[in-house]
Amino acid sequence: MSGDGVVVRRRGPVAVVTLGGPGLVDVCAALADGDARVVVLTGTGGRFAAGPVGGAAAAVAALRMPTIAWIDGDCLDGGLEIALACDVRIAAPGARLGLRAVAEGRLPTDGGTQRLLRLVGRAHALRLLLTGDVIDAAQALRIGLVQSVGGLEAADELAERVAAAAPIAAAYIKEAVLRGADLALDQGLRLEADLSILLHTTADRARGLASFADGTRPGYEGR
Amino acid sequence: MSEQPPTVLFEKRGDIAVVTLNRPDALNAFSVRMRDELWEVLGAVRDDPDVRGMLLQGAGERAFCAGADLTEFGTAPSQAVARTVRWERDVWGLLLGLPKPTVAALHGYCLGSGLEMAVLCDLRVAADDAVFGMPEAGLGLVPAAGGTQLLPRLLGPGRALDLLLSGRRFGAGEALEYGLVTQVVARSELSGAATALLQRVLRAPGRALAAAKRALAEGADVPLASALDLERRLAAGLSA
Repeated sequence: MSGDGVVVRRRGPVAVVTLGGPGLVDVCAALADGDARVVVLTGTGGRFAAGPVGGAAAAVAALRMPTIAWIDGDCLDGGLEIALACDVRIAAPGARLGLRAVAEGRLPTDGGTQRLLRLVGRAHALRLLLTGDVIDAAQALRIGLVQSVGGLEAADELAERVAAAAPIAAAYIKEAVLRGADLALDQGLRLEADLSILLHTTADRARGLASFADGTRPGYEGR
Repeated sequence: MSEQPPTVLFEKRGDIAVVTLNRPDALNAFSVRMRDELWEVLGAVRDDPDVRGMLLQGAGERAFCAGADLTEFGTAPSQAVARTVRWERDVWGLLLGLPKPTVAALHGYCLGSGLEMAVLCDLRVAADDAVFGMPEAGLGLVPAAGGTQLLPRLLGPGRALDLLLSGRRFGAGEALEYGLVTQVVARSELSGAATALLQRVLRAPGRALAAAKRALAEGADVPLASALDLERRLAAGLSA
């Protein structure tokens, strides 16, 4: 099933990326230059990611727009590292998640040790890394590895909601959260305030406020 | 022009300061005037030696605080002025840095700045009718009262991004599940439950509470070895 490569389909502002083989880095480069407002990553053939994916997590993490992983089937090793690089993860009820590298004498090489630690905390990260245990969707939800359990429609609904946001505001919020995690709190608060005020210069902010006042849909343009 | 009622009420009940956001007809929306009055009140909470802790609540039946008063947005003459004003009266820094324990009692709408204000407090109790959400992205805005920094530190980056990017609303049950609030009670019991929680906290000496708050706030931002030093110094200061 790994011969299909990475397929991108557009559904309005949402880009749905199916991970059927190598090529994700190039796809991310194209997405970075494009106008998709949300990226949904998903698998095929009972796996979240098939084939070699080395280095792709960094490309996913670098995308300025929000990214959602919908995890169906096996999401292991490099596949989980890609899911960890997304902003929000939703697991199908039958999903299986794990990082088996250490148990096999290797180390994850695509950010797995670091993004897992920051997402679920030290106790859960060490348990998953040191044992190589593969966990189910319910356990993943309990430890915060995924944010909800649901079918593709749950991922679609979330994507639609996020796509309705003002794109620059969404990108700044993502930046404030992810960059702020590496800053002392007072520095993070400075970053948030600066991004908030920088946003005053966008046409979408004025549009959002006007739409709120007259109860219409804003129809953001990303400028 | 007739005298308008204060937008923030301050009342002392024993050693507790009860601070009430008081624009019930506007769902306690956070306005420029409320910022100025909250700044004064929080200064009093900090400086009054008879006040040992603060309970923050919203007036009326419908909301703790439904967010910023958007009708006032866009009134700043320039980005440079807006930035100066933001730090002239850093009301959020004042709330976050209070050396006394703070409990937020949350009912009805608790959205945007309202949720951020709650998250700047130490502990949160919710009524079963509470509705939470961070709608900023959908309005073309970025949260500006610490939401992008405090929510990830409280709930983890995954849940924080979920809530901040989707803007979806959620209820008290989910808030409890996420660890956003420590307790959910019936609407009629909210005030009593929040007060009881604060009174339980206040059984500890104020100096110990202040030291614990400082250890967590400052310790979170430095390497572990430095934080352990800080803990030792704060502990020695208490037993001196």
